[in-house]
Amino acid sequence: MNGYVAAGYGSTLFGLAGYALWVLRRGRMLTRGRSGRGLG
Amino acid sequence: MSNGSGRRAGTAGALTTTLGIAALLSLGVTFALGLSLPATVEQGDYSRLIAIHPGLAWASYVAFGVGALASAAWLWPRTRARSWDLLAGASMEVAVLFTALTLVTGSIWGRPTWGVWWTWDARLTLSALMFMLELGYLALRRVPADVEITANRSAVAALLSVVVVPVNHFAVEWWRTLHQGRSLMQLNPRRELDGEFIGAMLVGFLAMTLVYSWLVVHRVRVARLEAAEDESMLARALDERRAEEVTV
Repeated sequence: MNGYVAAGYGSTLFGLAGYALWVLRRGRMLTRGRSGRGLG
Repeated sequence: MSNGSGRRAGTAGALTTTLGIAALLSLGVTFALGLSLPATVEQGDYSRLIAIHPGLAWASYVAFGVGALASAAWLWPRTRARSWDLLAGASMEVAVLFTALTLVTGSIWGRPTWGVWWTWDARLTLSALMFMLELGYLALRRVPADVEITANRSAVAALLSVVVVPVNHFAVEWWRTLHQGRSLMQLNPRRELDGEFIGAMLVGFLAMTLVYSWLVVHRVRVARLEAAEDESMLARALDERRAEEVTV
């Protein structure tokens, strides 16, 4: 496969999957009562 | 799925699971169709990017548009509800992702076809401006202030900046650009594109719309949890402060 085509499809997959995993993980943490945030 | 406290772990439900499966399947079909497209005389293998790039751009418009509509619903007294503000914030965040991917895939497509990674062409410049406006909107939401004030400020910002979306969409007609014409105007197989390219592009539109919908539903649920967490932390801090005063 052409390198540019691979880079286009790869970056799309990486970006969408990365954000989706972050959102799912954040949701899991919050429903378990761990926000990872403090009042500082 | 539940944890020890009886609360569901995660933001998934029956609707999002179905939506997620549909999004994943359509994305898989988009990738399969796109990668199996034949090389063209004009662009060689690079034309395979047609399955993903226009769909990403479309989803970025939808995300920005939904963010603006939700902002209007928040500002309108009859429909004013916290959910609209949360939807606006979630949709604008997802818009950042889709606009960034549009810029990245566009740049990757531009390098072999135009000979440059970037040029200050009207379409590209307006896409970059759109990205900056989305980032600015998210930054504005993070400026410390009362929840209502933050929601009002960001809603006005979204409504003022959404004008970039139609201008960006029609930029290829209003100015002389390197970028090709509007993708949706090229759906006649005999004129511009062969049927299989149009098919892959349309499946890409559907896939990116489904992925956007799935992401935004989850992000709204996360935002709702974050808001509840903020309120409970504030209440806890106030209780602790009051307890200290009593002790002293």
